[in-house]
Amino acid sequence: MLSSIKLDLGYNDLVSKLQFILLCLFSFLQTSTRPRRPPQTTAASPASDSPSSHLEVSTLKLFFSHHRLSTLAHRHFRRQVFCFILTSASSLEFTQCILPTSGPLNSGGLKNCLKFMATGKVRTSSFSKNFSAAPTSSVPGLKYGPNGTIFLSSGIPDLDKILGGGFHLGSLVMIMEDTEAPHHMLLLRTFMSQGLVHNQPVLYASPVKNPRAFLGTLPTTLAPKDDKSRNTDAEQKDLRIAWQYKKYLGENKQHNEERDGKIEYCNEFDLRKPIEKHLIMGNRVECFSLLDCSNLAGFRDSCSKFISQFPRYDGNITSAGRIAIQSFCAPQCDYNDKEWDMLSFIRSLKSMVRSSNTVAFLTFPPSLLSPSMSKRLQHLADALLSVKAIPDEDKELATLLTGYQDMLGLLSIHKVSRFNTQVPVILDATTYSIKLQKRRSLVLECLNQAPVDGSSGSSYGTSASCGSSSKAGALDF
Amino acid sequence: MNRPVSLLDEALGFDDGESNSRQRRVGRVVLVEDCVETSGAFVLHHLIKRFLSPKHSSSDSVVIIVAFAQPFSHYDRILRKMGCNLAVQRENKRLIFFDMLMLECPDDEGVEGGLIALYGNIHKAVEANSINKNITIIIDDISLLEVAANGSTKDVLNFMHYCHTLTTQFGCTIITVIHEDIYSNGDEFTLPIQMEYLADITLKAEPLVTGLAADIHGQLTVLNKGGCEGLGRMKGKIRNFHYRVKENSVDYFYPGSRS
Repeated sequence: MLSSIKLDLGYNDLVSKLQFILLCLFSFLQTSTRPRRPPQTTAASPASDSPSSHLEVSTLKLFFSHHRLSTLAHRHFRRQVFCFILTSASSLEFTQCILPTSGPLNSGGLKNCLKFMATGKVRTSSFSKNFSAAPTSSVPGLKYGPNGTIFLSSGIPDLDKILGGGFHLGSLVMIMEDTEAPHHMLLLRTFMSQGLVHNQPVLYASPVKNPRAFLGTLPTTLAPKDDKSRNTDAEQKDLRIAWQYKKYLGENKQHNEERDGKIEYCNEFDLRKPIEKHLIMGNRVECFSLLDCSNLAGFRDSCSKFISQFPRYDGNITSAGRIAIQSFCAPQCDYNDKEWDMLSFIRSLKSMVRSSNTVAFLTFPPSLLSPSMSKRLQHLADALLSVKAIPDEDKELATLLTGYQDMLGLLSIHKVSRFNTQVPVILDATTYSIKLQKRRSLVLECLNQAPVDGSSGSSYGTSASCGSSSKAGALDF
Repeated sequence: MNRPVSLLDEALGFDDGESNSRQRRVGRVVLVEDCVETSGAFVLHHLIKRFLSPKHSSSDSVVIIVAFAQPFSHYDRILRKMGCNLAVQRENKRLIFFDMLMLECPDDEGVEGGLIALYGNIHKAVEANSINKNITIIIDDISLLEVAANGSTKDVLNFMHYCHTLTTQFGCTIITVIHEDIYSNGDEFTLPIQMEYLADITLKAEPLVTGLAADIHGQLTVLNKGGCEGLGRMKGKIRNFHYRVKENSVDYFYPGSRS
């Protein structure tokens, strides 16, 4: 579906010109085929809010109102690879400019790292730790973890499993965005939806004029019927060889069914359908526009007011809260040039959250910040993840990985929160592919190396490149 | 009793309390450098335990923790697993804990109220315990202290120099952590250079170049400048070994010697 349009643009009024390009492509897309791989399926906007075109515009502003405007624009227009998605008849979302990431060096590093990852250990499903066996707390949506910590679900079952149960209550979770793709929004949406399903109050802040409009794009839970059929499907697929072990899986399933009456700890979400209206109505969701505040004092006050609803008493939890902050250091915010204000805000947010029953979930674009600032933020994070889009037509990667066609992007886990313990969590794999199952629910999978064609005898080549790539991998991730 | 001294203790070269009372009075500065991938916090925990447990040092040592990074409960839980009860030690006045998680000093008068007041408190605590006691000041960590001082490197360095005077005046040992990768992007940063200059012992925790592994959590490079008393000691010796962090202790071993 890649369309290339030659344009000669000055940089002075890019936004309006991009709107024009959007419209052109929109009409072009209506006649052409759907994109082969939508990076994001967005639920339709709610009827109450008009299809929010300003959202798109501000997303564009994020890219183009910054001092790096020239380089970004250059990249966007040189490569001329655009991907737009038709979400519904009435709204068009600017979802992605898929580029071979940022520059030749980085994409090479990514490939090397993938090679490295693919040869590493692969998490096998049958021997992964069974987390459903952990004692569940009396409050729905919370679960006790080791070292006196409490978990809260991320909204993606696979991510919970990878992290050992979910996000720690009282932790600051940071997502490093891919500036050229909105994959972090997938994680943000499921995180917020999961909170709403569990009846947990949510504070949402984003650098747009009307953040409440975003709530209409939150996904709803997947119908449980589908869920079960999916489970059995997966089991049958998994146990084609080790069929004797099926009885153990059966036990597991019974256990799950017992808990079906209660609210699930972690739901699966259907990214195509919007969340039920009654969940986002009322005042359980507080919205805050980061554009309105010239300094962060106001936002800090509303955060501390929100957090004060969930004081921490030992052993007696009544409810938990979630704070979701989208694109915190976005360049269109007034406070963007005050690095130390942002850092001290995050530091105080971290200490406030730490002494309460809340989880703060924050995304930021590391490439728009100075390297030292970005490192400081990474140190401040309790749990640190990053998302990356993958280029659409990368022959080399496609031969390297199985299931490349279905991948939306890559999720890397850099840091898992370490509360009350000094032992680092070493994961089997740190990079996972993000996939959509049945074009609805998000799944994370280990990267698997594609079988090597025996006749070409390239297996030596692969292993050699793997050895040499280890350094590049360590640098990149 | 006859447990072999771990590689870390050997590299640090801290004397056991009973061996020589004269050397105990010599203050030192220990700097731990770490990065996002590997945290150096385990060195702090090890040293807290070392200075508080009666086995290693005489019972009159006092530890002052200035915590910017973690709340008391976090240290308490970790040290409890290592066999050292911080809550009890705090009641016995052997541990003084300054919770600085919410400290903010936005501008000049903020520094007056913040860092200078903090130094005043530390000084008071040191002075009160100075008679015949080993005092250890742990600052966790300098990078966050810098954020609390709103990026004013000058104030942070002043604070650290003031603390440094305590090492000569009262023979305190100062242990700090700095996140080294923040300053490694080519720009001129005075803070890490100055801190390395102040430090007698620099420990650097890094991941292995091949990435993280379950058996080896990273490598530790210890540079011991030898201090002023280095009679017959190897000066400026660099040691390098791998480590594995466990709940109650840390294993140290030379590269490749892991069976």
